[in-house]
Amino acid sequence: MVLVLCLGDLHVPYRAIDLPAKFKALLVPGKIHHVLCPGNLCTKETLDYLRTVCTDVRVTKGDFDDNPRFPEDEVLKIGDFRVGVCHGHQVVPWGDMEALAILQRKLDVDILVTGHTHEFKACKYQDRFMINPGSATGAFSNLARDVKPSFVLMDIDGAKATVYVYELNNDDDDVKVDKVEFQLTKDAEAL
Amino acid sequence: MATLGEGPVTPQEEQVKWLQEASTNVKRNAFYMKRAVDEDNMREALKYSAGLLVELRTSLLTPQKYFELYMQAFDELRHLEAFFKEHHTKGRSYADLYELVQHAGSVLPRLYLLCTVGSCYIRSKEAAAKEILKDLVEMCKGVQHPTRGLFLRSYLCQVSRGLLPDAGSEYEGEGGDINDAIDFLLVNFTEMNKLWVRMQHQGSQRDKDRREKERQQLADLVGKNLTYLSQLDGLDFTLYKDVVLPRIMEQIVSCKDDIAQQYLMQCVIQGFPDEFHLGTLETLLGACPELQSGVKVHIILASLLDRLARYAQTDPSVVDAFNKADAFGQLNAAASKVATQQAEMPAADVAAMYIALLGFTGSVYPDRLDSVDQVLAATHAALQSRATSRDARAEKQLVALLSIPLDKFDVVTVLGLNNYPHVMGLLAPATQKEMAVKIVQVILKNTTRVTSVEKVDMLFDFINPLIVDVEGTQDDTDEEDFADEQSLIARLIHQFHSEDTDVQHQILTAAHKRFLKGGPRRLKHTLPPLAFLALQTVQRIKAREEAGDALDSSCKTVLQFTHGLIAALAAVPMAETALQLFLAAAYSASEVARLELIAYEFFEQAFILYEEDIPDSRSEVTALQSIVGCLHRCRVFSAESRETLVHKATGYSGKLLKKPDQCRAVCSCSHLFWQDIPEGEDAGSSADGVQPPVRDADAVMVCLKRALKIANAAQQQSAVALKASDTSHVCLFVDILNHYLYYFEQGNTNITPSVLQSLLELVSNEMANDHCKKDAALEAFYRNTLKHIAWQKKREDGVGKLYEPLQI
Repeated sequence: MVLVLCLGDLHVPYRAIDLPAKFKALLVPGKIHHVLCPGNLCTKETLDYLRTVCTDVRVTKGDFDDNPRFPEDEVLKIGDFRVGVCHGHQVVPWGDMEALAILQRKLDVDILVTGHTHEFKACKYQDRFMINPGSATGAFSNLARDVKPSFVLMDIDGAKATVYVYELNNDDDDVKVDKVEFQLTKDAEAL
Repeated sequence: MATLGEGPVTPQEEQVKWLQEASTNVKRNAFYMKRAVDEDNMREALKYSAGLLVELRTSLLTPQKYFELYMQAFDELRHLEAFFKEHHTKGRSYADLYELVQHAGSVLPRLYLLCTVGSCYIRSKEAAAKEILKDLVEMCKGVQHPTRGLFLRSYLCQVSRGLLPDAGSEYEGEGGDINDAIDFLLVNFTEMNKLWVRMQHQGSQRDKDRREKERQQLADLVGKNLTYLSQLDGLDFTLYKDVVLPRIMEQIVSCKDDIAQQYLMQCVIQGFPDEFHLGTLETLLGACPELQSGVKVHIILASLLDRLARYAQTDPSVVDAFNKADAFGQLNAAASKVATQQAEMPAADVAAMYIALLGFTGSVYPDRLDSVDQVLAATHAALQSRATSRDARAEKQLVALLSIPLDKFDVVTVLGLNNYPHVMGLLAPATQKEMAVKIVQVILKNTTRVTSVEKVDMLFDFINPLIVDVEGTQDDTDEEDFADEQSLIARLIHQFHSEDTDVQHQILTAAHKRFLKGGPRRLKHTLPPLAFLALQTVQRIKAREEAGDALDSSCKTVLQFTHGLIAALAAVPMAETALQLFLAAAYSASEVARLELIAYEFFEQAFILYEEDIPDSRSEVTALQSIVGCLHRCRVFSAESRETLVHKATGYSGKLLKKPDQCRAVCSCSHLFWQDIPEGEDAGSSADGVQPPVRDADAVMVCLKRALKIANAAQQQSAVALKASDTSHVCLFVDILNHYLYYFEQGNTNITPSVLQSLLELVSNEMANDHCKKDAALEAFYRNTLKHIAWQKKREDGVGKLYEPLQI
């Protein structure tokens, strides 16, 4: 059992003050094994914070990140899954499932984590899975209205991934959790 | 005292030696005393008990060691006491014994013995308690040596405990009443305090430190009288107010001794009940300015305030009582008086005193900001004459003082208090900056919103040291600290929020004006968040316009304002961020405000930056990706202006440094001719200010063919360079194949199954190459693409049908 935190588009301090206190309270250090951030942190301070939650933090470059060390994309193996991370502003049309699927085929990943649209999404595509954790700070974006802060926590157990989506309702400061399950089908290779 | 001839002996060793000698004598005499008791010989028993008590006449021992000796003697005297009782049961009267012990030779043993018999005497009720007590407390005046006298009186206090004619006690009535009990303790207290104070004036100036330390050790002996007083059941408020407190205070004030005043004031405050204090505030506070200048009045006041504050929290009715007594007014007045009369009082202590008062106000009157302001005014008045800005301790206290209301009340309201700036003005520039950081942090922590231009302006006045260079602050800041500070300001901007978008626009303008004074070093941090806030405002204005509200600030004006912001950022220079911001603004203009000309202008600005200021090829790739992604979504442009913009973007694609980048950029550009048809909209429809989605199948094909051409060129390039192992161009072919499939599914009629089939063959041929087979990533990409086709073929909807003719 491996816990993977996916969160992105924080845009601190350009568009948001900080992660919501409710989220910070949930992100207890020492429980999470990997942090995958598709990008737009944007400050070192935020990166330092994520490193207190977990030592393995993977960040890809967002359109507002100026850290030259962040790669455009990154692939890692977690359990039986190949997981890919990329911010997604490079993929036109933005947030388009079919266009992202091309990237997913290219990176050869079972789960693709992207960001940019500030709209949370977790869904199956063919025999693969796509996740957009939304903006963890609920940062303003032209692409979406009334962005709610959200992030995704994946619990990977061998070939099974349970995806929990945390969304904060700004009005009543209440965290809503949804669950999606995804099972890797090995016989897909036979096609 | 040095012992001659025996080599150096430390004072500690000396003390141990003296104590040992005295202790041996006590033991020896106690032994004979007990033997006399066993033999029922009263005369001998008294002789040896006096003998052991003689040891207490020593003046060699420090209070600590003297205490050990005293305890030893105390224990031995219990045997004697039992012996007295035994004789009493045999018929001997206490009056007789009381007489008898007075034959002891020296005064100290005699008085100890008298106290011992006296306690038995009272217990037997053969005489009135008040008479004996009065006798004893008077006779003890016979010992005037401070240490000896203090311990003797402490002994008296101890043995008479429980024997006082307190209300409800068995000794009340004939034995006297509460007044006698009080009187006894007060006299004993007064006498002990005199002894204790006298200690200060004995011996040489050289030993002052040691003596003061010793006096501190003895403090509790004196304080015990007050503790016993407070424990009297008969002590009611009237007695306390009319008798006890005036006499205690009289003694405290008149003794004119720093240590005694400091200790005893605390004793009174801690010892007696809360409601007594509330009723006698005037007396207590009236004494404060009378105290010696060396007394730390702020500590005394702080503990009083602390007690009262805790008292107020126990019961809401207490607060009413506070109001009735005008507790706050009295406390405030007392603090001022202390500050004025004690000119020597250090600024830090004055500040500490007001911290206590502020803490009191905060917990007793959690919603009374006017009290806070009064305290601030008083603080300012008290500290104005004391130079605080060069006093590190005072500065620290002032920062603590200014922080208290920030945590308790709404920050912006606190800053609006008349006297807050005055007190902050007392700080040195560097500390003012520290305070500014603190203010911002509290606002961020509490997510307090700053809701008007006036408030924003006021806030800026407070945090000015962070906004501009102030003399005396910038030298010690390194680059990282500076960035952290500016990051705070950047985050602060998001708290500028008015529900009224007109006001919001004014706030933005006011903030911009302030930020411009900070110079490019700061603008780099402050302009981007301000620009985003402006774009957010555009979104809100649009929503209000759609709702039919009449507004002063339109989307257009705010966008024009944003233009200025971004242009300033570009001049910092921060070309890449500015370019991204121009694109974000262009998107707002197009998709939110529907203002074609402005959107066009933003794109133009982004293009100018792209052409002139993007430093390297990787940044160019990134910037171009953003340009294409943004332009793809914009639907405000007429065919003509759109063509110009698209033409430029595709032009840039071909000019990228590396062929693979060119190829991928051209693929991306193909989307500029193929916009999404939003749900619920037909192709070719157009709403107000929105152009129909562009779906130009031919133009898409032109792009894709160009991409293929570039991939071919890349292939030739690597052939010329004799890099047979280079498979990057094949990867491009697979990329392009995927784009063909994308448009195929999208229904681009130019892409027929036969066109696809030949492209598939081409890629398959390339993939047959050994080098390609060895490239795992490429293999996977290709395999996944074929798998995708197989997957789509299996679908039972229109897509499945579309794919049917395709062979893999």
